[in-house]
Amino acid sequence: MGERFCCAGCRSVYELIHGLGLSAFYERKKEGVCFKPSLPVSESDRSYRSWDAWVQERQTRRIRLFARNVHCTACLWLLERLPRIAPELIERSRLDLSRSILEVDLAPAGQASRVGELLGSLGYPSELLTEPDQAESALKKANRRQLMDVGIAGALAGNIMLMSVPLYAGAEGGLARLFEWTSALLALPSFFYCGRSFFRSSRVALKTRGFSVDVPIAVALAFAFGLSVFHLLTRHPDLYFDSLSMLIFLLLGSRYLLARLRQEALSERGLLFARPSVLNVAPGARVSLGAGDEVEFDGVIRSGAGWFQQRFLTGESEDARLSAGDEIRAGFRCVGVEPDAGLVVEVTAAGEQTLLSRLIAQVQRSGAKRSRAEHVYEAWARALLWGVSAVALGLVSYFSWKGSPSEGANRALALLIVTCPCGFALGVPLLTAILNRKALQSGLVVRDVDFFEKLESVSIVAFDKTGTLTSGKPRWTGGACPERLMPVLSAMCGRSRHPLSKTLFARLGEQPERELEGFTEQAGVGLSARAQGRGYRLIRSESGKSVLSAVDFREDGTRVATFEFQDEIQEGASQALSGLREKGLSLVLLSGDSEAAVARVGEALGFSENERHARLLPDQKARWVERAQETGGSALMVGDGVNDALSMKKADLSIAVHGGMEVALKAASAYALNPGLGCVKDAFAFSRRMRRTLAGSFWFSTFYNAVACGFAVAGKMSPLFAAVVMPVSALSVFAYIGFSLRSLPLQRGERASA
Amino acid sequence: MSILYLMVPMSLVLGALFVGAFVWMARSDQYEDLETPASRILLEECSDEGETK
Repeated sequence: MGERFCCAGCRSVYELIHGLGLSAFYERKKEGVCFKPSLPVSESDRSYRSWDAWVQERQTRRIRLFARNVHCTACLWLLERLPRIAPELIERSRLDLSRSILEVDLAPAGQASRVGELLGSLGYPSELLTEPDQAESALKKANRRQLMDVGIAGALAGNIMLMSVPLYAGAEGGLARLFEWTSALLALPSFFYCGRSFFRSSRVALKTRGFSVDVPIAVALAFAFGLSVFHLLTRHPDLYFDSLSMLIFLLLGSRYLLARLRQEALSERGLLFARPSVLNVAPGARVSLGAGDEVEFDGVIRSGAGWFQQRFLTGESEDARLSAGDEIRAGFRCVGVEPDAGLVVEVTAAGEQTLLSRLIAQVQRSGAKRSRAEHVYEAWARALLWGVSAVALGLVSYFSWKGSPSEGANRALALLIVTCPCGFALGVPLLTAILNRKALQSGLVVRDVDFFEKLESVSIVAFDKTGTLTSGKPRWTGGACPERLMPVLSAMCGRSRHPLSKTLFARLGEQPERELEGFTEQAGVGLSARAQGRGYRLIRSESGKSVLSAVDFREDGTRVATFEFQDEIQEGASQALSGLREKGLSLVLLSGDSEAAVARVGEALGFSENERHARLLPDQKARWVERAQETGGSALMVGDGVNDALSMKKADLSIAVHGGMEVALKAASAYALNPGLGCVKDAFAFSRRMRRTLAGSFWFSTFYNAVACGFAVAGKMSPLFAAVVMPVSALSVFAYIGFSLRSLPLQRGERASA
Repeated sequence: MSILYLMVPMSLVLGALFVGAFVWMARSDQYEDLETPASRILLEECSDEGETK
């Protein structure tokens, strides 16, 4: 039929569906193709053996998987029909499309690993979700409870408002009694049930001699409720059931929204899916690894050698060859084992103790921290509330002394309700949550909660060169190999995983096979091998002058060729840097490379002579950053990882561009998901916007509170009016924040979400 | 106006019914995943047809 497919997954799905005689689905879908492009699939070599161990340990038949590449209704259709495709494996499957979580009930004879293989072959490489179920179901329960509270509070508030309309319109006599008592009746559950969280948290705060925003809210609620009941019984016309229930509803609603936003921000980091060790191995045990195995512990290789993919942990995109004595970490994936020597690893740490688990724990902790902005504005809110409480107390006692306690109570109540700083106290965390989410959309994972705030004071930005300003992918610019040696060179380069070797190998193209003897690769030095009785070496050249790097090819010690390579400047780096210069930041280039290479890149990107520094070792870079801080304020370090880790730690702030997660989590305050420098510019735009928004809402809130307090103290504002104005002010702060951040420039948003 | 003595309790009963329905929906996890069931309902029908053919 000549169908086109977005991915290997959809093709195999199509073939499978045809094979099973279920092609009615495609007749439904007139286009006959799937809709969105997707990630390439190369997961067929993967082993899922560890899943079986987990299933056995937990004694469960139900597994939950995070399925990649799920994006359309076709995926839902296929994944929920797995029991029909493989009834011997799967009894039931259920997909949550929005979260890409697949719940599978295994058939009595079904093995989890085979489910994994099946999903992999269908184009949905999956991760087993091994978080403790209790934690998640507790979270779910709490969310549900909160949602129910909000709904009930809303229904009660709406009805009480309706009951109050006739009272304000001037109902009298029996009808007035009817409406008064009905609203009182409805206020009971609103106050005692929906409002319980305020009382509970303020009781805890008072017990620990602390203070929370909930304390004055609880006081105001209790005061309003008590006074209303007293007025109801004494047939006084002033009742506040409507204001009080509306207040409860609005507060609960905004809190629920915030909690959801925060959870989403956390789970979107994808780190909830990172999988710590599940295998039951103890340190000291010896484990043999095969191709396709995921490493689930930290260890040292005792014998044999293998190739490891370590992108997840270190960001290194090249597979690394590790042999006896080398360390491996949980999160690595063994992609190949050298033949004739099995790979045996001695476990040094497992479970919670692996580096990966500790990193995950660190990230989860930092997600719960409060930002400096939140602390500042909490302090502001606290001062305001104490002040207002004191004034309210003063009003009550002053009017009681003057002989009209009800007037005092009225004014105090209006004051307490109207100055509720919740609009602001809730607005700041909302701002932080939205901002982090936006940053994530533009490809920046923020680890430091104060990142955007601190960024505002940065005056110096230091860049690493290789991998940050340049792509880190070398391009062959010079040197030719004698025709007769091409097969040998090709064979040598083909065995190595070094970027330069790979470039050479690709450049040489198809060459006849050539046997090599005694091939060795020494990191940082080069390759050597023997062929047809002669010794060949490919080593770093000393003669390289105007280039990034040069390697010599030697035959029996004599140089036969020199190859030169250049590193290309990152796409868009020039615009990003000029954007930063326009903002008045001073930029410097710190590199470990030769003067010539640094000068070439520096000139191309507009770094002047004294803004670029070459031949710096990692600790010299760090010292340079320290010196810059002493003279010129805050410094932001932008680097790509390993050799910049030290200077990143020293700098006030740091962004790891395309670096490893390990380094990023340890040293950097933010971590860029996409290559390029666009995120650095974005980050500055974000931070400026954040400060402006904060200042805006601060002044708005202060102005509003000052004016409203004046009216309330002067007795020009009834408690009802206060109750209407209060949520309006809170909502307008929310709306202002939302509006102000909505128009944030997102240059890279599309690419990040694709 | 005395009809109000009847209507107010009725409106309250009605309101209580809606709150009850809401609580039931929340309890049975209908607010957990708002996207999948909307797609699923289309597919159930589709696959049934596929089988009868």
